[in-house]
Amino acid sequence: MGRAIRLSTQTKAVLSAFLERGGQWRYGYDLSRETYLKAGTLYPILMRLRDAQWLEARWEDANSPGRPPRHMYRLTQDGRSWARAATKEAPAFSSSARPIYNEV
Amino acid sequence: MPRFFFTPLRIKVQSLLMRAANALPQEQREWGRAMISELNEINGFWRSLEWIAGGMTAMSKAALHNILLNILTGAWRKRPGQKPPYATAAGISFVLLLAPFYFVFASLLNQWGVPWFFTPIEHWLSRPRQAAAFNIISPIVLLGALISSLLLNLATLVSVGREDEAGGTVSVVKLRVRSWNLVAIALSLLLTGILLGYAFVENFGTQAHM
Repeated sequence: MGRAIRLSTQTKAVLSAFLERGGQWRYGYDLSRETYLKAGTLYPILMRLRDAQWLEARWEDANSPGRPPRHMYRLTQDGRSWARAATKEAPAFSSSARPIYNEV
Repeated sequence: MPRFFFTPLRIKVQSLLMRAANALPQEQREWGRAMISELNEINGFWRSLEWIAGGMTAMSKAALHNILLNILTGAWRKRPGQKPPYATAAGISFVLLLAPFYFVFASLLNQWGVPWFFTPIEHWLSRPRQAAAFNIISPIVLLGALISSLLLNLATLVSVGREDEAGGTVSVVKLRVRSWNLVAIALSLLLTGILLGYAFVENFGTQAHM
């Protein structure tokens, strides 16, 4: 059972990015490029979403020697329905339009 | 398709950061490593630096928050076999005490005719707007740091509980003796005393020049 979390504009942007790709596993840097959020903003959001069980995370299988495995994230089944409800109020922005955020 | 930008320097930095991430508390370690592993996907020195700086700042903030919460709420007591975080509390305290210590030390020396350390403060106070800001912010920062330091160490050293004794239940206050934590408490109290004394003399006394 997931916890309620504070849904800031940035959190909604991350949720929208997840919803756009259905149940696919996503990487931190890809999410950062898509949402224009910096690591310092994105990772605390991912941490909160995972703690609240909206997201599941796992390490990818190491397939390239010398290259550390990447951490991947995707919405849980419940997380997907919560995310849909959460982003319904504020529609997801298009990744082609760069949003302007003031809060960190 | 990810473009890998492997250079020996990048690999070295990445491996050093991975080691640094091991110093993070368990809750943040995985996230620190996750953020660092993404470096392979980022092209460009400044972008990489920005990514590292942002990620490390977020991790450090989360780690500090966890440590403070762990100590102040006494969460460590609920973990079996967990030792009180003596060193962490003392370490954070000494960092917190730097600003009040500098202010008191500089002010006292200034009063005794050694103005070197007080000069930067005086320079700052020479502009009315900065002086006004200082008057509002400094009590909050200085007293906040002192009170935080005091609470942090008291929370580590003192615990209150109930124990069964001779058929009844008694309240028990336990005090652990750890020298660095006691030094931090003593320093916090001393500096608080000096600052409050100074504030009293400054506001109610007739001749105060600190």
